[in-house]
Amino acid sequence: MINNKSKIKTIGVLFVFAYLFIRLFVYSDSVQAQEVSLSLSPPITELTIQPGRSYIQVFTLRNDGAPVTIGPKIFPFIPLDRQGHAELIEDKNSVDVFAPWFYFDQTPVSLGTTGSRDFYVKITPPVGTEEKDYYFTFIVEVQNENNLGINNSLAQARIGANILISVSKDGNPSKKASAITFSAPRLIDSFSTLNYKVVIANTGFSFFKPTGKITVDQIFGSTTVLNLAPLNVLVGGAREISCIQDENLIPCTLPGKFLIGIYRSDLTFTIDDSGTAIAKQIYTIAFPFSVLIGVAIIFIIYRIIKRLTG
Amino acid sequence: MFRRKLVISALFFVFVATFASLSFYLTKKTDSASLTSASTTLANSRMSYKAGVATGSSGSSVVTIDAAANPDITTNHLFPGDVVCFTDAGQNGCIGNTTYTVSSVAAVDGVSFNLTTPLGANLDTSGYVIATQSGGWTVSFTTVAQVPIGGSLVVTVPMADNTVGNNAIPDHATDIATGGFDLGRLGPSNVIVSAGCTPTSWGSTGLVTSIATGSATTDHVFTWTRAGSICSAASAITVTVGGPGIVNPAPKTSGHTQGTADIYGITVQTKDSGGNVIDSAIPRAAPVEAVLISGTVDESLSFVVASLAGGAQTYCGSQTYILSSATSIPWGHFAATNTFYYSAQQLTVSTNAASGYVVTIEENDQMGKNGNTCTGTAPSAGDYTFSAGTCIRDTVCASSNCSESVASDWITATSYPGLGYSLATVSASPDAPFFYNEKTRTWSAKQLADKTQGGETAATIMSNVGPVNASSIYVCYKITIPGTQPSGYYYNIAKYTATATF
Repeated sequence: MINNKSKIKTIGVLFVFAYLFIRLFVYSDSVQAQEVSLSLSPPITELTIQPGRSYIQVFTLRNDGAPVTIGPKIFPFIPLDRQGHAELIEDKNSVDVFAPWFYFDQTPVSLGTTGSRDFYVKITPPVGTEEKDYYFTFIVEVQNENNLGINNSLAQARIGANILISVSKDGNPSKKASAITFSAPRLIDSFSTLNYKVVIANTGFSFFKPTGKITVDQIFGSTTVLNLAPLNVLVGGAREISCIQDENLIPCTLPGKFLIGIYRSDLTFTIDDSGTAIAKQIYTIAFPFSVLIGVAIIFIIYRIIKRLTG
Repeated sequence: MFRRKLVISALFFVFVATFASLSFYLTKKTDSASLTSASTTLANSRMSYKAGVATGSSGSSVVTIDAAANPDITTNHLFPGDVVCFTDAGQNGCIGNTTYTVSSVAAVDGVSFNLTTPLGANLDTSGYVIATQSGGWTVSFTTVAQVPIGGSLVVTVPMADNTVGNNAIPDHATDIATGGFDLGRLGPSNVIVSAGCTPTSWGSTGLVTSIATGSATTDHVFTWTRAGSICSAASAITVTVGGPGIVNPAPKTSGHTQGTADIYGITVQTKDSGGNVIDSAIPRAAPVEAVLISGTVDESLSFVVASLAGGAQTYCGSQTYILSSATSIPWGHFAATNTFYYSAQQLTVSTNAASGYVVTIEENDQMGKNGNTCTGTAPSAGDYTFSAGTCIRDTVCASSNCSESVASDWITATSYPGLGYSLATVSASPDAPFFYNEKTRTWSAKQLADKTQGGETAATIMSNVGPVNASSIYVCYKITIPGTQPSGYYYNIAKYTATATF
């Protein structure tokens, strides 16, 4: 009798254990990997504004990672290179100079997982602001507290959206461009590719986008058009311009597996699709040098073999 | 003899009379049966759009419709990309033989829309704006009785009364009974029996024998005669209308609710050689307004910093790594000096910004003891003395110094103490500017850019000139301290900044 009771008890315990074990796997909640995951929209704002006038831009931040506390800031930036990268100017003096331009809630806010926050940034270049371009980045940074008490390097994630501002009284700032580089090899092997390098400089007072194309004419042959990507060229800087196809940026490369003959390439572009076109022309000769060298090597080997066997 | 003849004649008469009477009174006419599994499938079931024109001037790309009693009185059923034709009141084709494409439809007023190109002429304000919807049909059914040689298959398609039923202009009427389809200038080669009962034995090798376009009072009729062989009972037959297809009607002008189908009956019959109906069915064709499914995708940039597991891992080569978090590299207590310690994080970027993105890395300072300032980029004396501060320096990697902008192979823990980092690809992402194993190096490394105290420029660690979907890299940190490093709590802050390319 006691034995039976003991057996039932053991089976009961085993059953409960098995149930809990299965439930652990079947019903357990999904675990979120520890990560900081932020999205910011829109990533770039382009604005032409009169001094003294205001514009409100809304930046939407979404948190898809673990709960975080974030703080918004705005820093001026300068173009860093010809690839469209920016260098933030974070020293206090530079930031303070432009503090009157921006009004937004700078209080750090906590965001739970999947939480989002709209930041309303009121942009007001003061009356009397010089008519030219000003570039900023709206930054949202994760607030870390260094209280680990152990040797460490804190990793602080920041995500930013660029703000390009042209201050202009008449809304029509002076825009000027020059093609400082339009190049391609003058001589290429027929089996190589014909790559173009286009660098456009901004010598005016407002950023612009070039609208244009490279037209490649094979003498006595076909014509190929490569469309330039409308990338921003900032004042005082230059930008290496890619080509665009089906909304994808691609290198400016002449398609084709075998090129032969003389290729005349014409670069033409306008500023923001208006005004006088700027043009440059270059020539490239494609010849099957590799084939010629191959034939020559075969011929030499043949002559050597013939001489040795003769 | 005569009597016998009389009896025989009388009996014969009675027999004939009885036979005739029985034949007349008892024989019942056979009723025709219903074809089974009958259906009509429209490849494009969207109703045609037809509204009256209110305004539309040459050179303008804005058109306003007339909200009066026409098939369509709003632009709810007109969508971007629709090709529209403007007719006169008599619907005599597209004016100027020109069609236009709708670029957008005003959601606010419900009666205007924009074209992708300006109008070439003023519109006829008594005419119509039409977006024709047409498509192929598939009519299927199964015979109940056989169709004899010489018999026929007849499909009747309703046509709108008192209209031109074969000009490819969608027709309309007040109700279903008087409405119907336009044949859209179908040819015989477009109307075929495509399956069932040896299709080539119907009509002219499957092609319709005749297309009778409807009139003011009659409907469209497709007829196939049966030749060659009997079509047996229980045969599944499919009729296909291809080519330009049949033009769907515009909504009926009376009692139509948008989103509710106008249902038309398509009559299918099989007949014997005498034209008597053998089987018949009336499958339904139900054109209805389409639904515009649209959504807006905002341009955005997404940036993820993820922790990575510790232990034996292969993030930047096979090493023992310290577990990281998303917000720190917790080196903890250095159990050994002149020994490399590794830890890593994973960065992932997604953006639909056309010109791509960039992620930079910088540090607020070198690792200062209790957070003290490490003035300059290099120690003022020894390996850890920075003027008044004590720090774990940024490594110089090797005799051929690495810096925040130049990488160098860092393999000796004893001679080159400090903190450095390297990068590795994840899922073949090419977005990093250098990798730990580049140039046949063991561990190609750089310093973190000391922006605040060293005046260095933040270094790019990920970039792309176009949109990317979950482009990802490992950022691997490495540290070693000399045996004389003063005890204490050392820390600094590494900042990742993700921005869209301008």
